[in-house]
Amino acid sequence: MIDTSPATAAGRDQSGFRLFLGRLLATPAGWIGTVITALVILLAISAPFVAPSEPLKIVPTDLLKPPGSPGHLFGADELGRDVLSRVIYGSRISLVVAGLSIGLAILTGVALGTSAGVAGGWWDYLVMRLMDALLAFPLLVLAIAISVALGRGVFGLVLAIAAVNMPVFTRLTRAQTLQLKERPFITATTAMGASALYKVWRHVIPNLLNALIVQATTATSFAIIIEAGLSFLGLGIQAPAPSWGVMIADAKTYMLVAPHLLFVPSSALFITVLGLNLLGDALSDALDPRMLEK
Amino acid sequence: MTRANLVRTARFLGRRMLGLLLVMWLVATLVFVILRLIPGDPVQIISGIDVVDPAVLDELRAELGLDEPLLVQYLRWLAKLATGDLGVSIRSQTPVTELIGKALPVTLELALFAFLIGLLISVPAGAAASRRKGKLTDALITSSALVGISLPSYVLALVAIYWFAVKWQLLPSGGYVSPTVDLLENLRMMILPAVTLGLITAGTLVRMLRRNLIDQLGEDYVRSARARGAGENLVFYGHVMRNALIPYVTIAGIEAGILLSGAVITESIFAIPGLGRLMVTNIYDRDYPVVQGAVFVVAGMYVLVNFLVDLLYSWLDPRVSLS
Amino acid sequence: MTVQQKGATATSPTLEVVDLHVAFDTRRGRIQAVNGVSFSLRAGERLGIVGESGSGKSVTAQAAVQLIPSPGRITRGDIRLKGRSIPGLSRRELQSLRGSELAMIFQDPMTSLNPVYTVGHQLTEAIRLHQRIDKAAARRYAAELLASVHIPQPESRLSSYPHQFSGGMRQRVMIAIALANNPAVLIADEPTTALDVTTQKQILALLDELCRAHGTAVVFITHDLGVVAEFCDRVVVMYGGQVMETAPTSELFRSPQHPYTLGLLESLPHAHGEELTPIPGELPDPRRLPEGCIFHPRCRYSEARCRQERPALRSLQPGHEVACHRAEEVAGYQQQDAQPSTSASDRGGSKTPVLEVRELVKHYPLGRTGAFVSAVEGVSFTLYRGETLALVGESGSGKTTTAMTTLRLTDPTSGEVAFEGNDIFALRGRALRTFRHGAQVVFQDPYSSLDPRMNVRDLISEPMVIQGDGTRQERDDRAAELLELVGLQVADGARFPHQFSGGQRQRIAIARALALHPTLLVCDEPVSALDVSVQAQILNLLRRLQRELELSYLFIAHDLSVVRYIADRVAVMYLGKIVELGSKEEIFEDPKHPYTQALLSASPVPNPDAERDPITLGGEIPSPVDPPPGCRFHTRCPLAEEVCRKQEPPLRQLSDGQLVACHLAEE
Repeated sequence: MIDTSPATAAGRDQSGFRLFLGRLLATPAGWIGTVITALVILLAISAPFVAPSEPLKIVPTDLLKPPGSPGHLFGADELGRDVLSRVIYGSRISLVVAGLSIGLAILTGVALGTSAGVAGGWWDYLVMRLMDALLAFPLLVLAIAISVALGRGVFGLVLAIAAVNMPVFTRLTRAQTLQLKERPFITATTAMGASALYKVWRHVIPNLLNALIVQATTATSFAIIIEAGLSFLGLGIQAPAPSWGVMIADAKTYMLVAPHLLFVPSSALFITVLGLNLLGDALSDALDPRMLEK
Repeated sequence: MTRANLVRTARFLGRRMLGLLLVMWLVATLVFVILRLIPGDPVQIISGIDVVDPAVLDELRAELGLDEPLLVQYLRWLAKLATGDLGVSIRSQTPVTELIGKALPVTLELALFAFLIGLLISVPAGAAASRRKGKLTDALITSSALVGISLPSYVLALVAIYWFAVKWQLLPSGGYVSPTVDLLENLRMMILPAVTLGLITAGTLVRMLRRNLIDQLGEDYVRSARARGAGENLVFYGHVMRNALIPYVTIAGIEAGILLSGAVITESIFAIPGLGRLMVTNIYDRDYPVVQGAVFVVAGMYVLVNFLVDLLYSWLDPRVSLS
Repeated sequence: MTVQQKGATATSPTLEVVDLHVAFDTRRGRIQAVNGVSFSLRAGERLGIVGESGSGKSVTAQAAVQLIPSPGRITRGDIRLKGRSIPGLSRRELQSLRGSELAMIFQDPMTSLNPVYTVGHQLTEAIRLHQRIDKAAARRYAAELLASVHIPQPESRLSSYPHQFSGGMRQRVMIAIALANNPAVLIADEPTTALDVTTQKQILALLDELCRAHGTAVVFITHDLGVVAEFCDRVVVMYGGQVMETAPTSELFRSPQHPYTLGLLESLPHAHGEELTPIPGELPDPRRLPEGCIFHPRCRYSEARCRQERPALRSLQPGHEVACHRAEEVAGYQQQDAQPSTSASDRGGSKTPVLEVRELVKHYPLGRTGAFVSAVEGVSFTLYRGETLALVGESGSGKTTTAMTTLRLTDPTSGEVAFEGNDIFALRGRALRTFRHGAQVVFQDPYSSLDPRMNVRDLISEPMVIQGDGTRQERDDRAAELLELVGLQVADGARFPHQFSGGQRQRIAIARALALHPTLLVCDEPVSALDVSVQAQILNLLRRLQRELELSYLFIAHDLSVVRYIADRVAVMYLGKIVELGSKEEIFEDPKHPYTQALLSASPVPNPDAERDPITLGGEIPSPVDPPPGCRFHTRCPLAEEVCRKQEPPLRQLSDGQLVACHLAEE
């Protein structure tokens, strides 16, 4: 072989991950989304160290203190609790619930989707009609019903949010599996005598990852919105836990006198979701196979 | 249309209807199963905390048919559904169809307004963004759309209430008056919830349409049209638009379905007596028949909208025939 | 616009490209796609631009109509149509020029028409953009145009949508649109590449007829030297964005002066058996073009000067320009007349059957309607140890389905396939394992046949992993051995498929297929996705491996020149049936079936002095859902008689051993 080809290869040889990171951070949307998401995760992890006070500590002298008051950068709520601390701790609830539920949704969705795609026939038909039925439910009503059925609390909440997100992952996985199944590199493994399970595990799932990552990012932002929404309705996380949804619901009563109780947790929620959506968009561009050659 | 075509179309529609029925049956079953899982005894709740006499409770249970085995309850529920009977509310003793009949027009009105707002914003905005891809207009439109999809409806609704109702006192903060009673007041009350929902819907639709349009602009047929001397306006409105609208119709249909299914939180915040609120309040109250009925109707509308969208799709796209 | 005007200035060129530079600025650096290209086109002339992928031929064409895809732009140079500078035109002027004086057709007719509008809509649009006539008149003219490109029932076909036309028909529509306003210049970018050979022949004949009638000058962009030889008066050879050589067609083929042109001609598969002479190495990476002469890393004439100094285009004789420092020596080189060499029989192919296919039938049901696609309909053949049997046919002939069934990748509707004497559909357990070891496959597209997420060593070891063969160390050793066997380096094992070129990936796919020591290799169009210069390398490799490992090849192809080079015996398929089967010599020298004859005459020959057969095949391949009764070929057969329409001809043996399925074939 002549020298050009190895040289060419060496040029592209930097690890795929660095290349991907370069593409991800190349646009403002990409790095803003990455920075916001990283920051939120960091805050959630280090909440006990960065929060100025306990999220549940009631200070009767500080009732409804406006932002900028001494000791309360973002003010205090109707019980004199520090809003900033509650918002920081709130990020833990959001991320844990969203992370667990999306993780669960992915696991079940991938299992159902790949099995439906590979097996076909009646199993495929049954799974897909079941997903149609799940999707036909008004989403929040489904989440409410499941969450109520399983008792209000984190467990019910996680299952409910997982259930409403699962159909998306099932459909995505199945569609990709059907497409991948016809790709020659999988047909070639049939000629080598590979079993269906081998093909799914070794070829289908690794090649699904990109699409899953993109969908998972969007789904997580969605899960955060539902979690706060259910808690807002009093059907998710229960007071006094510092969930953003609970804080927003409580703020309704004091809207006129203490609007910061509405605006601070709302902004936290909005910024987190925005960050994830920006990241999702950037990931979908950066992982787009059509972009790989650019 | 030839006779053979008619037969094929009829067969196609028949098959689709069958699928529709299957999904509705699954929905009905799911509704039944999930609601039976809810802890708490409805009989106890409706009769008040203080009634402890088991004889009284049993009597009430028998009256409501809740003492029968689950399978019997399930079959009875299906049988009644088939005849259009959704049962009677445990709490108010009114037929569920009547309750839904009252709530449905309210949700329909809200959904219609919100959907119109979504359409009217998304089509021009999507077109403008895709034609000026990478320019300032595009950046403004895409970032607004991103904000739209990142704002939870309850946050947007509360912020809107804070400024427009509480602070400036321009619009009512909630409630509902039937348009037949007072049309003007009805509209005033609808503005905030409809705009809130409409903006969020628009966010999703703009992003979708923009992406479709940009994809279509990269297609070979666009290059061919340009190569034969077509100007940019002809290329855009005469070629690209219709192709991009085909998938847009599907997504818009899904959005319409979501709006029709009752914006649960928005209706709660604005105290609008629509389907969403009907479902939530009755979940609190464990009024099974009402929740069952409402969820079933909502899911049915959603499935129906999707069915209509499919028909519209095959009409728009000559490659998809009804067979 | 009258013909008079067009021909008026016979001396000055109609289209002139001067020192054109086109660059694409990407995030990963600049791609200089076109790098100082100049040529001119006289009125009514047909200029071919030939090149492999990355040569810049298509971008040059796109620049002429100002449709370079983003982010490409002209960085220097000019394009003049009858003296008017095209890059200097306003948008409005450009629009009135496109489609009226300068028209273009593209490679893929399947996507070049808007799917949601009727053909009539798009034709009338093209007419009314440049002619002030009312809709009714435009529609009448559109019907005339459809008639002029030989589309039957033109009036009613105006209301059809593009998806209701076949690929060949769509390309006819594209030609009708392009010629609607009688342009002075037509630019055709690979217009027949996506089509079958017999359709290609028809489209070329149509272009020839219409351009001759209207005096249209044509710039014909292609990778196919055969098509150029057939269609063009003059040829520009491009490589890496530069012009290597320009000459009248016959002169270019007879006495090339550039080593690249010479290399291209020598890499073409030929009838004789000996090794091809491929151009070594790979096509250049457009981001890091070599210094000096762009071709020097692959050039056998390369010397110090070539590495430093870019050669300018110069003329050794009038009308023939070449960009090479050593053109004189190249011109003096005589292409060797290849020696006829050993054919199958001489090579003493044993008569041990490896694969026996009997009455194979494969139907694909269409929904629950009871209708089905008749993909393969009673195919029988035997493949012997150490030989290559080629299955040849156009799209829809069932050649790929046949091949996939012989690997048990899909189950047949009926029929038998025996591998080394065992019915492969009855195999279970150990016996199935032995079969999987014995028969492997190489696919057409080297991009999708390797899992992008595995490194090369894992890819090559995969068959052994699946079969549980050997220890990890043994598998790695075997992978290293295989890499060297196919001409790669052991170090390549740690890299990923995307780091290799198409040809190299095909080597990897071959190495993987050989991992289990198979005796049968099914090759499904293994070189048709590759550039000519690389194609020759892979064909040589396949031949060498066959010799060294005593492999049997079932070789699927549509390119007859490739088949003629590699096959020992050839089976010609049409609509799911074998119509003729014989030795390579019998099929190519003395074809008996009218379809084989038509296929041979439709294949472009890279020799401008060759005698051109007129078109022998009209029409299109019928649908396999509703194949014609009797002889499946009778609808297109120039010789068809009553008996052909009624009775199906059996595959019968002629006295010399050749098998033919035709009532009329004579000894």
